[in-house]
Amino acid sequence: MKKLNLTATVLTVAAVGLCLVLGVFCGINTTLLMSRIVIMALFALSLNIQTGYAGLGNLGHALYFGLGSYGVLIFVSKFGQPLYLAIPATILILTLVSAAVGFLMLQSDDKMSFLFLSFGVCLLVYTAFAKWAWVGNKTGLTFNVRPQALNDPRNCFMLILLVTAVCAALMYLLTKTPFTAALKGSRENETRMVFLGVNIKRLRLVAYVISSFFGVIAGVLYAIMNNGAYITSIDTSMALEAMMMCLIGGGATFLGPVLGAVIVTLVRNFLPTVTNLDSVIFGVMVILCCYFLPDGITAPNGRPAALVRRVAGRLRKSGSDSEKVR
Amino acid sequence: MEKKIAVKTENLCKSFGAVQAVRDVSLTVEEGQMQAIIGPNGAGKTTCMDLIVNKTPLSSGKVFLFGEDITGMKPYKIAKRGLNKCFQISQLFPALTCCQNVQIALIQKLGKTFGLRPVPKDYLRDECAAELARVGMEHLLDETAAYLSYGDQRRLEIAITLALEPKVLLLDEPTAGVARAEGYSIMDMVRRLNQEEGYTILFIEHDMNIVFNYSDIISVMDHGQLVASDTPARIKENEFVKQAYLGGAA
Ligand SMILES: Nc1ncnc2c1ncn2[C@@H]1O[C@H](COP(=O)(O)OP(=O)(O)OP(=O)(O)O)[C@@H](O)[C@H]1O
Ligand SMILES: [Mg+2]
Repeated sequence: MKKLNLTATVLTVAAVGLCLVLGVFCGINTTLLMSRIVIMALFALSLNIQTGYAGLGNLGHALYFGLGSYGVLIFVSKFGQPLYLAIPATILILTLVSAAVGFLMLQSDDKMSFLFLSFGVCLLVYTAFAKWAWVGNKTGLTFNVRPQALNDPRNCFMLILLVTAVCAALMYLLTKTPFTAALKGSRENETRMVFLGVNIKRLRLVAYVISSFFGVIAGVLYAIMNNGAYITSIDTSMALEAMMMCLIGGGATFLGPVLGAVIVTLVRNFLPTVTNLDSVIFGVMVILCCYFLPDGITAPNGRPAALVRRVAGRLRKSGSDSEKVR
Repeated sequence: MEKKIAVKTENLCKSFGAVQAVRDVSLTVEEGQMQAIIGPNGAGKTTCMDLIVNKTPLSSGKVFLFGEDITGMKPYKIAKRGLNKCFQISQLFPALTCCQNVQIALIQKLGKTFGLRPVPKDYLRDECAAELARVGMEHLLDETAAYLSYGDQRRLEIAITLALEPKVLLLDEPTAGVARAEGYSIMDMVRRLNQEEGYTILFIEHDMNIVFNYSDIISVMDHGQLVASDTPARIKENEFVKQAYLGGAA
């Protein structure tokens, strides 16, 4: 167990280092792509609190990502507030909104109804924003919200990486709490939880609010990165993509969704530049993944994990063999 | 001195469509008592227990816990008041280890279910081991619940419930499907809880040897109705019980 933790730590540090190198030293396009990947990683991690730990599928998480972006733009461009006020106000208001929306959505204990309600609410807000001239209809809002220092995409990227790292660390700590243990219990067996005396609705609501809170932060970062808020950010296809990230990466491992975010973002951004069959390829990829890796790439009992264990075992064995020879 | 009444039902009724699963059942369990419910398959025993903890909503009647009317109360609130049930079909967290299974119950008992402060990996591990030791499972601490033998799953189900330190423990066929000897060892343990730790216990059981050896009061159900409720000695003389269980007219 200790060894596994060490491996994970080394991998994480290496990944963050690689991110930094790619984001800062490899040209503006790479910087922008890396910014997007890191934001998506944060977004997927936040969603995984629901899908992975609480076992609640959600097809409308883009709601908070999109509104996070719009919130910043509205506060700055419509109400003339400075960015340092716009950000906390957006996060606070939307977290409160998520508590109210979550309360209503969780009235039924049925996970399926939660899934479709989340989808419905997201679609509703998307449609409203697409038809609402004040928020720019389908073009969204653009405004120079960034302070001077962040106009260099590399600085912006470093800020995004820093905020994401802090949020990821907080979410990681969250997985070590009694709350998450209880959340996993509610995922595994609702009946048992209820008859232990646990208020499942409240448990799920807290998870939903925490998850939405981090989702909003991802959206805020996206607004800063783009100096804009776009209707595609509230789109249900965005929400679906986030679900794909969690599924492909694997929700049982804390960093699984990050890997999913890297893969999905790369595929979605790179494929369209070389072929117009990108959606088809993405679809096939998802199907293959569901078929061969039902619990995601990083699932502890999945094929890739077994492969890694085998290779590691062989390396260790050959290492000790060569020692013997010596 | 009058014993306090732990659980009392008044005219409990439940119909599933045309089937009257439970009819006018008025049951009393005194504090510190170990009471058995017996009856043929389909007599309504499980349904009756589910009505008490509101797993199944009742059609009519009333349920009291230590004098408080808990009729129609949300199941989690009833459980929180110390009326806890072990189910006929074990309700475990299959993907989690025995330790984690019990840990979740302990977290709830300690009121830490919404605790947002990180805890170390071995949080409550010793306490979990102690709880598992009560049912003789301390050696299975890190075994995944789904891989346990059927008997051990029954024990784990009891361990999870006991971790809550219930005021009243309901057991739905704790020994069903378990090898005979193991069934007795489970019941010995339950009896010890009753005699040494003063637990109030209501249990459903088919094995007549167990029922007559391990209970203070036996309630007999048939076709949804409570036929009799008395001491083992007197239940042995009951006509219906003789007919149904003890070899007919003899
Ligand atoms: N959810 C349900 N829907 C319809 N009928 C039900 C339901 N649950 C129980 N019944 C019916 O109610 C009656 C009583 O069932 P119950 O499970 O309470 O019996 P039991 O005494 O526990 O039997 P067993 O000894 O087999 O466990 C049966 O006729 C059963 O078919
Ligand atoms: Mg039954």
